[in-house]
Amino acid sequence: MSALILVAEDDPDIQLIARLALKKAGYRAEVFDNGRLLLDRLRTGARPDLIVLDWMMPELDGPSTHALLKADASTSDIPVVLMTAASEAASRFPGVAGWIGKPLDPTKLGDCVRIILESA
Amino acid sequence: MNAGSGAGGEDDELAAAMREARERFVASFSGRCDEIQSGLTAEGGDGPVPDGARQAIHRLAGLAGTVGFPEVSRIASEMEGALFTATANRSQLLAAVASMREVFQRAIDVSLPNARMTPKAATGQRVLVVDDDPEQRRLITRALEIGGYNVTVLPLADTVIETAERVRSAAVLLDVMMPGINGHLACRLLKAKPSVADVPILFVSSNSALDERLAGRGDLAAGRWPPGAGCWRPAGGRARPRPRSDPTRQSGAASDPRRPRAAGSAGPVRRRCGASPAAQYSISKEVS
Repeated sequence: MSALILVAEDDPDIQLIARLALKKAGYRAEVFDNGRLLLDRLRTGARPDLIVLDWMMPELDGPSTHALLKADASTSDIPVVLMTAASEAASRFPGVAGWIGKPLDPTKLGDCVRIILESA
Repeated sequence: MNAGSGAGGEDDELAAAMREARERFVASFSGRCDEIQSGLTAEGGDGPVPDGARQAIHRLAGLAGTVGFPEVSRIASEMEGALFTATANRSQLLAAVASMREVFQRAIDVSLPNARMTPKAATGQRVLVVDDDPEQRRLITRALEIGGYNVTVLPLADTVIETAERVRSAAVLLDVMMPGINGHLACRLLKAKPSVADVPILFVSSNSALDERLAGRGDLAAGRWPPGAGCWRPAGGRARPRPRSDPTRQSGAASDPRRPRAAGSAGPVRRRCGASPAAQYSISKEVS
């Protein structure tokens, strides 16, 4: 079974591109409009190998979603990656497994995820 | 846990998604800039920048780079950073929007495959373009002129019948979403007027859903305006449908001297516009 990646990103085009790029790289991917919907999916039993969060999203943004994930014992061990153009801020953000720079490059997304999964 | 290997079909799927995302971005860019601009000038330009404008800048920064406009993305990212640190005033942000528009326009000009080609000699055929978006009008006009057509533009459809009659247009390109008379209504009005009822109509729309196409009952199926189609021509026109099983079914354009011919390298418009032959058949049937 290939690794399951959950992605929260509010832009529908980026959602589709990320999902297809991850699929092309051999991963199973599910995308959500914001962090709240991703957390809802976890409550229904999804056990992802990695969570990718856009930094800025309506309703529940990336850092807030990350904080909730880490505060919950049932999800705190899932590696989380932040996706943002502010790579410097992301690299200093505590507790994340890595960050993916924006603009998203679909040709590199699979490799980024693989590297992060291997080191997580 | 390992990743498997991607199949060729997924390559195509991703490439198609990228292409369509880029097309949607091009079609929506002007509106996105307008939204940011109106947010920056709201309430006299005082007070905090509205969330809507911030979100629009953020989305622009994220998407532009992914779909091939890195310079636009860079400017939008700088704007986002300046908003975050409150290091730019409204006039600086408005100037950044203007420069983003310029950079975008340059990128589009370069991406038109025939942008540097000398326009072909005019065919004498005139195409009427009705679109409320000045950027789209400019793009379409440019592409048609490169293809050798004379172009008449209208920003609204309220005089479309009189104009189509007056300029004796060989085809009419209608934006679907327009204030006042929208593309669907304009199409019906044209079809109801005997003097212009046989002029082929093409819809220009980012929504390629079949319902959308059928709603207008155009001669050709609706399609997205294809950015980069510098020598795109309104091929086919009012196709007389043959049974779908007939492998020889063609556009039928050549028999009508008033109708523009397809440019050999450009391919049939229904392919470029993402409309299926079946949809074309259905729609042609509706209006025949």
